[in-house]
Amino acid sequence: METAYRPSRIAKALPSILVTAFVTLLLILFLVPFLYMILTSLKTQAQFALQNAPIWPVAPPKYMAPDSLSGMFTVSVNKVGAFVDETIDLTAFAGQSLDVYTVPMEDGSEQDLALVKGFQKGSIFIDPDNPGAGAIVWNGGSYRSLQRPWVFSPAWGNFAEMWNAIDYPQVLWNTFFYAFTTTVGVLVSCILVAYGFSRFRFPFRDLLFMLLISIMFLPGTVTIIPTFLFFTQIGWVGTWLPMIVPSFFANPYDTFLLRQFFMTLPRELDESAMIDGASPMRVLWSIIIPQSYPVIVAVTVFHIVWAWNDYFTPLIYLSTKMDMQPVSVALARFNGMFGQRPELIQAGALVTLIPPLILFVAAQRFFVQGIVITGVEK
Amino acid sequence: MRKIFVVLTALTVLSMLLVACGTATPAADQPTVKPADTAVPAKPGAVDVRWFVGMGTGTDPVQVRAELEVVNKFNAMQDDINLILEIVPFDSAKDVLSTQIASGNGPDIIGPVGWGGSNAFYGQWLDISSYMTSSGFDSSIFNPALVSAYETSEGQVGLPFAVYPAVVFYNTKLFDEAGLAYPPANYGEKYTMPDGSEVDWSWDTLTAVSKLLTIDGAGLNSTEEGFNKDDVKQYGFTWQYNNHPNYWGSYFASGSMVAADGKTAQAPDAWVDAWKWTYDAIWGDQPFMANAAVEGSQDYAGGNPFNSNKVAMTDQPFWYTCCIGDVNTWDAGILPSYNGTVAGRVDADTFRIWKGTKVPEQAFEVLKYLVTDAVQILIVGSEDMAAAYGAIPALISAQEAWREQKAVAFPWVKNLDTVIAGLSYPDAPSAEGYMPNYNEAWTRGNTFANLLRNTPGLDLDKEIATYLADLNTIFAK
Amino acid sequence: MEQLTRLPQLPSADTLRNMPPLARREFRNGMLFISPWIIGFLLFTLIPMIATFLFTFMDLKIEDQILAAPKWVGFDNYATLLKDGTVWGKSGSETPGAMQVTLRFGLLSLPVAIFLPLFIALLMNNKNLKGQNFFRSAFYMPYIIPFVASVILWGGVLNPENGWVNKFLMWLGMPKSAVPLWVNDVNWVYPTFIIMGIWGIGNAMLTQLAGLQSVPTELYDASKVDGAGMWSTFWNVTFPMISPVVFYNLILSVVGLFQYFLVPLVVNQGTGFPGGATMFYNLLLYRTFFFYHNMSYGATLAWVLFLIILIVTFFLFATARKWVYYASDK
Repeated sequence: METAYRPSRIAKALPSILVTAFVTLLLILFLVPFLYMILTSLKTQAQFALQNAPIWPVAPPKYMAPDSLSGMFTVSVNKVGAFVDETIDLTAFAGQSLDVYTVPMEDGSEQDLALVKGFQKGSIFIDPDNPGAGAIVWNGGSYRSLQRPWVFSPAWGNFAEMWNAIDYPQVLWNTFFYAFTTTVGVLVSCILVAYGFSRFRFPFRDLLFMLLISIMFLPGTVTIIPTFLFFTQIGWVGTWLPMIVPSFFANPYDTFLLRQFFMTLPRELDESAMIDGASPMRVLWSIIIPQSYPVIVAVTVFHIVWAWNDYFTPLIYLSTKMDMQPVSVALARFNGMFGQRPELIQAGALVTLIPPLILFVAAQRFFVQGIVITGVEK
Repeated sequence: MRKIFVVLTALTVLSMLLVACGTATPAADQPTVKPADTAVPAKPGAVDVRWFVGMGTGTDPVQVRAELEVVNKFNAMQDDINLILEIVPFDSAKDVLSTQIASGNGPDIIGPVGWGGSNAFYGQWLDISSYMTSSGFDSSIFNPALVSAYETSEGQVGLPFAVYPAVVFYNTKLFDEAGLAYPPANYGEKYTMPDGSEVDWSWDTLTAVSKLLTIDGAGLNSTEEGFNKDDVKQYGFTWQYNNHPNYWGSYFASGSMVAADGKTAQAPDAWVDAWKWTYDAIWGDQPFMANAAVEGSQDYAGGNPFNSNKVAMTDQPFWYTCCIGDVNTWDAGILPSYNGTVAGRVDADTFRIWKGTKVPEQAFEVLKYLVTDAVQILIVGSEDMAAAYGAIPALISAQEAWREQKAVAFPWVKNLDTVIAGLSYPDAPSAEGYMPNYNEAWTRGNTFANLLRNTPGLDLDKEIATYLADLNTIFAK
Repeated sequence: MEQLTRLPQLPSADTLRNMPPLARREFRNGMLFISPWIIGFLLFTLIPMIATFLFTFMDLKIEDQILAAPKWVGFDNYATLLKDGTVWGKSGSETPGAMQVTLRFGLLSLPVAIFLPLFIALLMNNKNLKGQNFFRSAFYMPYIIPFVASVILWGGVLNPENGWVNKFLMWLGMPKSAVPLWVNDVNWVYPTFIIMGIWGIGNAMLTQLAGLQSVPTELYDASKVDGAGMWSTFWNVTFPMISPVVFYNLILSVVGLFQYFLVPLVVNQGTGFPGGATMFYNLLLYRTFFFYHNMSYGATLAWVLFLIILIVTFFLFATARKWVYYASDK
């Protein structure tokens, strides 16, 4: 019996294993660039430029020559095409830090040797295990093509440097503040407007709703300059107001999502409440909103993620207020005209990724079913 | 029934409160420089003057620290002006400045800004000559030639602040490994080739040396039989940040893409030579320069290849010292000659006043401060704080202090005098000189440079003809 | 959305006046609730829109202060635009026009933008997949990564010379002359942009997933009883049921296509390299505004783009009746 049962259990699990394995494979492909991001954040500028280095952060291995190192040797080395006798005084390297390379020896073995003098076509090494024994010549090409016994060496300091250079706690607080206040604005205004569009019949309603939708199609560039001019005239440039106040006046994307969801809710409940004399506000609060948590969570997450990375608007309105700028703007400072610091940008981006990611992981089970785009026909 | 109003109102009030005091809320104590903490409180009755940084160098967090120091010093020493620093990342600076200017809310002072950045906003700059006269400003503290360089068709649009003569930066380690002599340190000196012959330090000589410094994994240089183009371990030369046909050309001989009539596109013969030279250096049989993709990769320090310790030479204005942190074996050599004449570039950064400023007098006060007293912090630097900009001060009295500071900052550099000697080889007209419809014309040049640096197998004469035809269209717009 | 496929009827003034009290109250309440949007629209959208619309009839460069005396030029800007070779392409020139670039890219990118998120969402919705929450979050995550960071990492992964992908291809034995040059190659640049775009499918995947989850399981059971295969179940049951979501994503993708400019601006330095293939319409618009400082022509380009998007979406809404399935039509 048991022998017959087992394969059937495996057969049962097989689709699950196959699907999960396939998706895992897909995910690995999908996240390769993310691995690049992590590794970049752990390298220094000098580590980027290392020849023949593996993709993970490594340091070139070093050998500290003893202070007692001495000896004069004359060896024949191919410097730039012709063999010449080079006299080398090891005393000059006493107490110095030398680069270690993996050198192929004549007998076919490989040995980790410390470079004392490199030329284009040949180089002179010493043996770290027996430094005084003499100079070892390798004439097999450029020492730059040699492999090295790499040491794993992540530059955790990048995170501290990024943290201090842009005053990270302050800019993170700014980002949080921007995301939070505008989310409140979006929720308050979009719920009201979506309710108005989904539950009341009034003239021009469809025309107005179409107008709202068509605003999504408006290229942002069209209105930047007059909008900026407008906020300049009322003295709001250099404050958060040009970003926060408009969020209290409903945007088309979130209003649309909310309205579509409200449309799917049965009208019977609110109609009977209305007959009982409940005001529209009361219906919204006690009947519509309690049924709409999924979509409200969805709008919240979508908006926070959007605000978290918003760049151009805070940039133009807060250019005089460095201490008020969000992370997205502060990180761009590492992309200077000449000095680019990709490792600091990636370190900052990684840290900044954490809060919205946690939010998403925690909230997703509540809202995936909330994004309802059907039910448009009502 | 009213609950929803209460909640909604509470939320609204809460977020408004956050708006009002949000940024004033102090974060946890930080040992870092915080602009808010270091700013001097606003002075009653003081006029605000905005200083816009981002059109050139100056946005690096380290530089910002020095700039803030200048702002605080200035605000502490007088009561009439409240100087405000405005830092915009370089990539977005033009957008932000356009938006501000178009809506009549431009900053008062803009800089450091070079010729290119200034011409991008041609016609926007205030002629300061009347303010110089009325305040009795003594411009003899600068080299007169530099002062007159800022007298353009727009008027006197700036005062000399930072000058950057060009030099050949070379990596002594790579020269040592190749057993090659260093480029000469004094103009007029000859270069000793490996065979012992003494030759002029010309572009031909530089080419020959660069090929010897370009080696593959087997240690073969690019002149040798069997050299593997696909496995280059080190290159001889890079244009680095000078990747525009106007720059390439100007290092061969000064010139302009605009003919004397001011509206016809032309290509000076020396520039065509420089473009062909560049193309051959990348794609020729004996290459010695990396293509754009290699230079842009992180292996070559993301567009800063000389800093990777894998490129032997670059021809560059001296501001490049900003960006060679990882190479401590570089030195400065003289610029190569073309047909017997040395051509260089002298980059210059200054501060400019926006024509639309409402407080020109106060802005001029700040400008005076920036080009005189602030030079100590911004260009010379001190032991506590490195200089913000890697330039030579135009202020004559500060040049000796500059030399001493640089000797401390770059102890391995022997040829600082070579840098100063480069001031004698300015590009006249400037490589970034005015062209009609400047921004579009300049961008078309970038496209041409991109094409050359990325595409093997081009018919260059045909591409140059297309380039000129497009420029003529742009000039005529 | 069905209602959007026909123009709504404008009520006459009489209908308003003769409204019964109940309808009047509903009118009042409805307007009250949507008033935040109306006010915001008037203040922050309509006024700037009208302002830019007026720009299109002026000759306005950055040096002309907007509030100073305007130079009216009538329809000159529109006339220039109609025969502008950089927009529509020049005959006999290899360089494509910005609108051609946008449409060519759209032909390749739109199918991917619609069907790939759908494919991932189908996988995420597969009951055989273990750890759904983890996978959903992981596929969504890149969407949160700031643009400034993602450009750098794509530069590292897809560098033509020593990016990870090409190193891997060469390790597999592909000769260096055969590896793709990605953004430097006219033939590869659009696929490269699409690959970069795939990274941001998080939102589209979520909406598709939500659509899939709302399909009643009874329908699948019925289809099984009928003996339908996987493929036919998908086309006959799943796709019609989620077609409103697909339509929603299609509209957003079309809007995104016409407004595409940030990637070519940063990755190809906004020069249109290679061979003008990346000079997208919205990039040209952006450059005209912020680089060339031609405010009036930039505004004209923007308004024409807005009208084009409106026309295209109206057209899509019209075709939607043929393939978008609405439950109420049963």
